[in-house]
Amino acid sequence: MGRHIAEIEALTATDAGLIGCTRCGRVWPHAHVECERCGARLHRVDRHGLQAVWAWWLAGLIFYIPANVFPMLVTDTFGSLQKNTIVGGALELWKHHNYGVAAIVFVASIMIPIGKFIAVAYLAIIVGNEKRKGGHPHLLLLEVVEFIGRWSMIDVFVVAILSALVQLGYVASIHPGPAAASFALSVAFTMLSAQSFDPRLIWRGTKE
Amino acid sequence: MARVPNPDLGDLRGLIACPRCDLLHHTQQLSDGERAKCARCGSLLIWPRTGAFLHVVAFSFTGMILMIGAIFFPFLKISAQGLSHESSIFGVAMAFSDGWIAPLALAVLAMIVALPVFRFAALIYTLWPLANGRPAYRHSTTVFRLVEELQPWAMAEIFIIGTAVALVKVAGLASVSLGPAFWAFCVLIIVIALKNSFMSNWTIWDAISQK
Amino acid sequence: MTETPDPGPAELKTSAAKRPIWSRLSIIWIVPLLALVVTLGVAWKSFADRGELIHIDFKDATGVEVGTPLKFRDVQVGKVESVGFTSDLTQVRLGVRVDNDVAPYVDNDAKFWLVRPEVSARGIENLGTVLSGTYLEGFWTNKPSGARTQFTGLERPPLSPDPSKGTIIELRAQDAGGIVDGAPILYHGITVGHLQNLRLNKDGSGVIVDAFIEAPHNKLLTTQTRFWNTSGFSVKFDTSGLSLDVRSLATLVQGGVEFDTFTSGGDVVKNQDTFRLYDSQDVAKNSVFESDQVDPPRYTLLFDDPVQGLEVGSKVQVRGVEAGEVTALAIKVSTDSTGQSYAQQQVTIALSPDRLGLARDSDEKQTTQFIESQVVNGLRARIASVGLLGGTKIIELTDVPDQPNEKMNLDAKPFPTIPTAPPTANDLSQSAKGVFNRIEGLPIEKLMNSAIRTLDSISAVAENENTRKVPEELSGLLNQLRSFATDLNDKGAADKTVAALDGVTDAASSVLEEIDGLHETLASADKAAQAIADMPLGDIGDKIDTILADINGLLNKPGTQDLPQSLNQTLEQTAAILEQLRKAGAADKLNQTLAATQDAAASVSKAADRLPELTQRLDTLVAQAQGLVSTYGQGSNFSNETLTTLRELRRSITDIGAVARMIERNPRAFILGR
Repeated sequence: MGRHIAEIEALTATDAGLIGCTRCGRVWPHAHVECERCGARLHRVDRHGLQAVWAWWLAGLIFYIPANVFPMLVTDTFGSLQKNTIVGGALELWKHHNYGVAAIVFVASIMIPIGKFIAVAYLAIIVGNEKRKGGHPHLLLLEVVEFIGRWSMIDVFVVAILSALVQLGYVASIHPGPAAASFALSVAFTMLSAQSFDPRLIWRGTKE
Repeated sequence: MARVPNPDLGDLRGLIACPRCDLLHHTQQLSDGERAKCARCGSLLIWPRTGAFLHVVAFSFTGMILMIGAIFFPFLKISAQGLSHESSIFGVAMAFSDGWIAPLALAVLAMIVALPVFRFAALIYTLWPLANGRPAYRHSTTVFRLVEELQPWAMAEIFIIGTAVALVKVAGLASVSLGPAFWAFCVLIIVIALKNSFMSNWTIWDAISQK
Repeated sequence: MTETPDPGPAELKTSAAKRPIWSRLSIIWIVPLLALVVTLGVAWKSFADRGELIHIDFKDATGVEVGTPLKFRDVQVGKVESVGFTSDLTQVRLGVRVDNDVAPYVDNDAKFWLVRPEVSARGIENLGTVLSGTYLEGFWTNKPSGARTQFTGLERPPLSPDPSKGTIIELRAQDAGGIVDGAPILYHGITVGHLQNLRLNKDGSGVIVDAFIEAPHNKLLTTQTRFWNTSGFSVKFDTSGLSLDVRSLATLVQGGVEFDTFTSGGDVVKNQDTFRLYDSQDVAKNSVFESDQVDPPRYTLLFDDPVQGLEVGSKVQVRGVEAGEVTALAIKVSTDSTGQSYAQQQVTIALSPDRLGLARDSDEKQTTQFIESQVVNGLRARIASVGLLGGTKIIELTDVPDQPNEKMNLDAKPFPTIPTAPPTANDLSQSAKGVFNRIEGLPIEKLMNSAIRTLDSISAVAENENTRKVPEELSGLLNQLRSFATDLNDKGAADKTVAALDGVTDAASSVLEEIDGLHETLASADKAAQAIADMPLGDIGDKIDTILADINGLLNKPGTQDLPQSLNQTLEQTAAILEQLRKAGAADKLNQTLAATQDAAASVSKAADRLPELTQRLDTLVAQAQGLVSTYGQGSNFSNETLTTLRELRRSITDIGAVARMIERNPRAFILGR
């Protein structure tokens, strides 16, 4: 944020008795349910929408469990199968003294997804609280979650590329494990969860 | 930006509510290169550029051409001890085609190929008439809304980063040669980034709605 | 009339100047244009470089999939683009993209095959393909000729893809005999090539194997070259002991083939020439079949009598000439007209046309025609025995008199049959009788009688008054003779002689005891006896006759008339000794000895290596006899003559030895006369 703007007490669309389209920004009278310009559904700024956030959040969390329990990659080297879970892969790297890579894997595949869950849950809990301070850090947090949420799909693509590429017959071949699907679903649900989060709530206490 | 103590609610057309924080603003005619941000949260709201529509259309064409090349050219090839294996983009998606995770193959294919292509096509459909000063085609609003909604799911740029990560992992095991598809994809994400820089949603919506 | 306005010149319709299209176009269009150009450029390049599409048909394309590489000299030059079927679905058709730089050389001489891992006794081959998977290999020469796009893949990898690196020939044998694919080809123990593609021939009656002999060793080949199997090891158990022959460990495991050229004058060998693979080096050297007679005409013989001692490889003689071999033995059960089944021995023989006197390249039909005509003239197959001791059975195709008219059955399967005759009668009593008849026929009795008669006449002369007037020198001679006779008497000469002869007999009989299978020998012995008759035994008798004649001559000389009484007595004594000898059964003993010697000679001829020993033994006996006689006085006439006789006998024994050796070398020559 280039210039910091202190809490500006300004008129929001809701305050003005209007409803703003979150897709195109057009404002409509309070009673409108659909944006006439872009056709998107108009959402009121209220905690009601957080139910969807929680629902996707929970689905994402549920799928995150098998994503960690089942192997992500099955490596077949000279006939010996090696199944790597996400955590197992990181630990393996750690054991082989590849601390740097292990750390990267640990951060990217474990900390960030877990951080996302925590961040979304935190925001979903905090937005209703009148005593919260500062919209900017929270919006930043949400934007980071939204941004990283997509990039978590990297793991899935890496599995896909490795599986497609490392097909050297008996010498080495890599196959995707069931965790790849769980992980992809988990990422997708987390993305949906973050998308469902109405950032306008950050700026506005809910008063029901 | 002046505060609006008593907004003229009669002309809602001249207002914009920040999608991020719901703050109401008056819209103004911006000259080329100017950028309008939300007064409270700083989100970029309007950033019109001269010939933006044309640029977006041109970049979309570029992107489609590159995507076609990326699909049909060899993507990556590894070789180790005389053994080699190569894969196309399609082959990468098909890595998940075995067993019950097969839908994931479709999802991956959609994320890295189908959705970007759809978005290019949709943008061309929506913006081509606008760029030529003609009214928008039918269903342009629906099509452009889909473009907007599907934006997070088109992951071409993420895919290329994934490729980079995979290359780092494989590099020690085997030597990897990059095919034309890889380079096409790299150029593709640059094109996508350029295209996005020209896409001011408000401006486009404004243009579409001006029948 | 309404007023019409004056038709003035109309106003031109004008429109604003259109800006040229290039000025209306935004510079931004360069971006997609550039992308299009680059993409099309890359596409064009990959299209131009994609290579020629050829199709290769395979019966079995296990492990081939789209992307399987095509290699030439182990370098990838293309890959499989499609895997489909031929229109009749019997073969797999592979569409293969061949790189442009080699495509012009993929022409009529191109060969394609699949390389897969192979596990055999020699280990694992193409180990790389275990890891990389099956791949296609191709070979073509560096001379482009008549490009083709449709090929048929080889079922097996070729022995050596590059024909300039050696010669590929085909070996045919009855059975593989331990050979496996990849077995080495040895020349004087050095590996000069290898075998591959071991397979059954079309009718399954034999095996064919391709042999690749690497350059420059392929120059050693001529059409006269003979190949033999050295697979495994051979254990030979014979008089020289037990011998184990293993060419190399490799041949023990995977078999092997060795070759050599025993005769000169062969032609240059071309690729794909066919050679016979002999069972062993001996067979290769001695076989009546030339290298190129890989499939000689074959015939079936049916014998009612049991065939013992006949084996695969036994010789076949046609009118005494070795002209073939037995290739198979079996039992054939037939049913006669009364419905009773009976078994016959079915012997399959192969005949060499050129040994029959036909042209070397005569085919089966010509050979059969020839045999057929001979059968009409009385040619029959029968089992005969050869060798003096061995009882080696052979098949004899010879004219047998008094046989019922029979014809060849040309339609018999698998081979035409040649009518057979019962084996030659060979029973013991007959043979023995023949032998003894002959020995009895020897002129020994006559010789003895004539000696006695002569001595009688000497006695008569000696009793004559005139002999007393014998000259002084003769008196000395007579004294010597008398003392000799005395010595003879004193030392029991007769007994000793008899004992010596007994010794000979014992030796001979001990020799006989050593020999098993006398029964089988007798047939040969019969023939041997014939030879004995031809031996210079008659000469011995003649010699003795000559001696006696000489004595007679001496006695009939005028001076001899005056021989003293003492001489007369001496002569009487001499006669008595001879009489004694006769009474002691000397003639019989001699007969026996001769028989024994004959048998001994037979055994000698059988076991060639025992020959020197036996000859030596006989020699020793003669030497003993000589020594015995010489003890009766050096220089005495009798002694000298006897020694001469014994020397003759010794020479005769040497002759026997020579004959025996000759017999061993070539029994046929012996039977038919030299």
